[in-house]
Amino acid sequence: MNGPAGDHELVARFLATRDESAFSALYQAHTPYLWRLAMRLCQGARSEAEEVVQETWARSVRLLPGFAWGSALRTWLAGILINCRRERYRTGLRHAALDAEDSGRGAATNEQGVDLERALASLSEELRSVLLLFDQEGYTHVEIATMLQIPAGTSKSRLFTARRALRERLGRAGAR
Amino acid sequence: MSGGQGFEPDEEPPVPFDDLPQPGLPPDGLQARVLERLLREDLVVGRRTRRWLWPAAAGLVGIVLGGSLRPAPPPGPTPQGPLFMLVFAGGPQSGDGLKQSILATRTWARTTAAGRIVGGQRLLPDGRVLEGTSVEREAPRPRSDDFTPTGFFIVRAHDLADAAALARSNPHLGLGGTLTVRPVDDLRWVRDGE
Repeated sequence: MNGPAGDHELVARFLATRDESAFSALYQAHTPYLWRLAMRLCQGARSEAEEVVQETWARSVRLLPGFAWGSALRTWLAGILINCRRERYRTGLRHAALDAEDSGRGAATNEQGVDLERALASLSEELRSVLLLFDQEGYTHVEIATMLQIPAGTSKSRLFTARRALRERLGRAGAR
Repeated sequence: MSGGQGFEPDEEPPVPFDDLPQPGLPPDGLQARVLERLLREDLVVGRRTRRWLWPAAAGLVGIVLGGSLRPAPPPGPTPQGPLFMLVFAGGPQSGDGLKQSILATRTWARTTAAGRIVGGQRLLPDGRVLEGTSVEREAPRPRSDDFTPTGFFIVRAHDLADAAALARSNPHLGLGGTLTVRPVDDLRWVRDGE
C-alpha cells in the first residue's frame, strides 16, 4: 500500500471523505518515516520531534487538496516537516523541556556513535539538514533543493562543508 | 532518492550514520494526539461525530417539539448520568464573530464534549412572546450583552458541578458569551409519546 500507487489511493480516499479512518491509513503509511526524520533533525529530542510531526500532519492535511504530485508524497511530506522544524528553530520555539527531558536523548552506546552525535549537534541547522537528507535519507540534491527552497548547487556545497566539518570534529574527538 | 549521488572522488566521503542509534518507532500516543488536533481544527471528521451526534440532535428536535420522535440511540457506548441543558446567550450575534463562535462550538462538541452531548440546536433571532391570554409581541432580538437564549445543548454529566465544568470549557465564554447550566427533568412521557 505504501508506494506511489498506494499513496494516490490513500490521498483520494481521504480527500473524498475527510474521514478519521482514511487519515489513519495515511498516518500509518508515512509516520514511521517522518518520525525517524524528525528525530534526526531534532537530534533525538523526542518531545520536540513529536511536536514537529504533529505540526507536519496538521499542515499537510490543509495543503493536501493542492498537492499536484510533482514529487512523491513522502518527499512532499518530508519537505513540510523540514520547514516546520526550521520555523520552530528560527523562532526559538524549541520545547522548553528539550534539554532536561531529553538530555540523554541520543543514547548512543558505542564511542563512535557518541562522537558522531556530538559532532552533528555542533553543525549549523542548515548544514545538518542537508547532510542528513543526503547521507542518511538518500535524497538527491534536486530533491533537497526543492524541500529546502535553495538552489541544488547550494545543497551540494553545504553537503561538502558539512562532511568536512564533521570529519574534522570527529578527528579532534578521536585524537583526545 | 539515491544516496551518494553526485559524490566525486575529491569530495568528502559520506558520513557513517550506521554508528548512530536508530530512532525507533513513533510513540504509541502520537497518533491519538495528532488526530485530536486535526479534529479540533476541523480538518478531519471523527467517527463518533459522524455516527451519532446529528441523529441524536435530530431526535432532540422531536423532544422539543413535543412530537413522538424517538431519539436515535447512539451505536457507541451510551453516556451515563442525568441530563443538563447548557443555554447559550450573549456573545457575537452576527458576521465573522458569529461564524467563529459556531465553528468553535462545533469543534468543542466534536472533541471536548464528544460522547456527552445528547443533542442541541441553535435558536434563530426571530420569535414571539406570549403573555397571559391577551398579549403577544415580538420577542426581543438577542444582543451580545443580554441573556436572551441563542441555542442550547443537552448533555449528560455526573452532577451540576460536572455539567458546569464541561460548560466552562466551551469557547463561547471566551467570546464574551454566557452559558446557563440547568438540570433537566427528563419527561419520559414526552419522549415516549405516551
